[in-house]
Amino acid sequence: MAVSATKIQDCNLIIDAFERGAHHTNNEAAVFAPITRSVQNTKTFAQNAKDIIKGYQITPTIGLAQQTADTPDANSQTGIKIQNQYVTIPDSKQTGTLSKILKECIPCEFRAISTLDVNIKSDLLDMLKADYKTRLDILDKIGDLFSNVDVYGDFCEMASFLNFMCIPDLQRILSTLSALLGEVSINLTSLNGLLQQLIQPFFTPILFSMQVLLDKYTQLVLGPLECIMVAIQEQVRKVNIPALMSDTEARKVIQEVNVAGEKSALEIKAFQGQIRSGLVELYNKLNFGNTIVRKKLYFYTTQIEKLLHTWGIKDGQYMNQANQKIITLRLIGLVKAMIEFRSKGMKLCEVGNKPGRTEMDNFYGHFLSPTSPFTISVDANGNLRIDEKSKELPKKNQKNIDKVKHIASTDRLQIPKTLLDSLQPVSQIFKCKITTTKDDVAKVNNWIKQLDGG
Amino acid sequence: MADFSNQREILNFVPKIRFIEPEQVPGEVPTEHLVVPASLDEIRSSVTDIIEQYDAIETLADATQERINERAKGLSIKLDLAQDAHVLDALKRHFNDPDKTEITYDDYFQCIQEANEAARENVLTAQQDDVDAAASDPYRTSFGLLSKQPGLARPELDKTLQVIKPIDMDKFKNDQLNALFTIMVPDIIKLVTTGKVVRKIVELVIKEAF
Repeated sequence: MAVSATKIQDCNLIIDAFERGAHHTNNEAAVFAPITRSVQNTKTFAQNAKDIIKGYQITPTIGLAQQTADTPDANSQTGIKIQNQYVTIPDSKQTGTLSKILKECIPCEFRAISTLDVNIKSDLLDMLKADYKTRLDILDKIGDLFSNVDVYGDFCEMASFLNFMCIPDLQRILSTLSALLGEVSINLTSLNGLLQQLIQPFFTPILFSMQVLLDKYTQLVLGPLECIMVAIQEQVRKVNIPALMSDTEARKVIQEVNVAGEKSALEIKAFQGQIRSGLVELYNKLNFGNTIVRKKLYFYTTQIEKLLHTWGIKDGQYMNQANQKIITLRLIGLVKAMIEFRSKGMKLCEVGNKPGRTEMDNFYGHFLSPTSPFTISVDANGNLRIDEKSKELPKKNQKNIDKVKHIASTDRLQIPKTLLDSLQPVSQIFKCKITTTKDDVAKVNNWIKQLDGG
Repeated sequence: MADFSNQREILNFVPKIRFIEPEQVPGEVPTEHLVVPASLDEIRSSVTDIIEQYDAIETLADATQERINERAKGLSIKLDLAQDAHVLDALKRHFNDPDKTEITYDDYFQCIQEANEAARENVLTAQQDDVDAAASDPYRTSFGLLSKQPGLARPELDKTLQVIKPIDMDKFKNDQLNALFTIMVPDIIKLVTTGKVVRKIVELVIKEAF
């Protein structure tokens, strides 16, 4: 069903406003939400690409002819051998009229093969292969955003370090990290602009469709046509065109040119630009049309290539910025938690002492976990545990995960292990390094004292 | 009183996006002539591979989307009543909710899906019926523009080339009038029930009669 223009315009406004808002919202949900567009565009493109490729496989079902790479049964079929392929032609019992037409045509090799079957161009195949790799790479980067919790690796150490910093200094850190977030937000907005919003999803299918239609036209019509054009050239050479011309002046010119040798009428046309011969004009118009269509095909192919390439770069850069945002947000989360914790008059430990397992666990449980998509805790062995809060995900996603695992197991497709792992909820353990010593504390206190001019 | 001129502009807005093609100069034909493939099996195998690859991409995209939905759920973007007036109009119109002032993640997701659905309509592929129809009439002499009605072969009238469908102005006006009437109905009822309309009609009848 057609979607109305008003609805699409409204949707574009809503999508744009939401994404701008999300880029300037400082929480993890706001990092993930706008990635939806990249993922949905990828999905739509995959569907479009499949439809377009399948279009090449459509051949008449009424028994026009069959093509095979194998040698056909000589007793039941007739055919032509072209290089290493054997093109079979239906006999009179199969499709009388079509078979007759095919045999009556000027015997050009290309016609025989292109009438029977159209194959996808190798540059289009290469383009799609490259596109697949780019999309896989970007999905892998998105997966990394979900699963990469490396920044938490030394959070225990950081917490014990921040524990004895004064609140105004913690606020200075927070303020600087927030300023950095502002910069990242602007970068995200500029990278997630017009290209993703309108051009890529809307124009790629059109460019692709035009490319494919022109390619088919080139294969089915222009390939054989070039053979016909050679035949016309031959015919023009045989016919005494000057004798047929009514224009005395033109005839004179032609005769003068012909004196020098056997110049063809086509060359005379190029020389004079005056002759109006039907055969010559037919040749010229066919040549003109052939050139135009081939150039258009070249134009569309180049545009798709550029668009897909630019798209890949932009989305890659976007994911890098999104990664920056998420790391900054997690650091901010820790500093913010520490300010809240300290402002309540609490301490992880006394200056000079290492924080204990219970203190750390309480700190993460009450001050960091509530604003994080993870449950962050310190277990009995003193390890920092990062577990995804959502318990629903595996159930919802199981069908997709099973399907992906099956695909990965076939060995026909290379899917990065990191991408497969990223589909599962995060569950990671880090050694909780609580190693702040008295010397560390003294150094920082001394540093703060110097900053304060003490 | 609200200024509706800006809203009209938005509703009538059609982006001026066109392809700029290089000038077509006849001359040397590009050298990419049809080459008989080295191996048809190879090409077909590549096509099968690519279809499988995009199948995999689709599944991976679905799985990734589930993860995004999980992490992004609950996100809601508040709109500024003055700065985002045009977005608010679009939001209220699109979701048919006059009180809506926030875009939820679900709204956003729905809009993306609608936009992608529209993009899917831009894919032009030869259908089996077309191929069969062409093969069934090998003697036809009508191709392309030759088969069109005079004056109707303009490219902008070809639905497959309309990236963004034009607004049906008649339908749009009727819808707006209906909407306006719906807004006015309570006032009309009020006037009728208070007798003001009846009184006005009587006055007009008396005036006409005498």
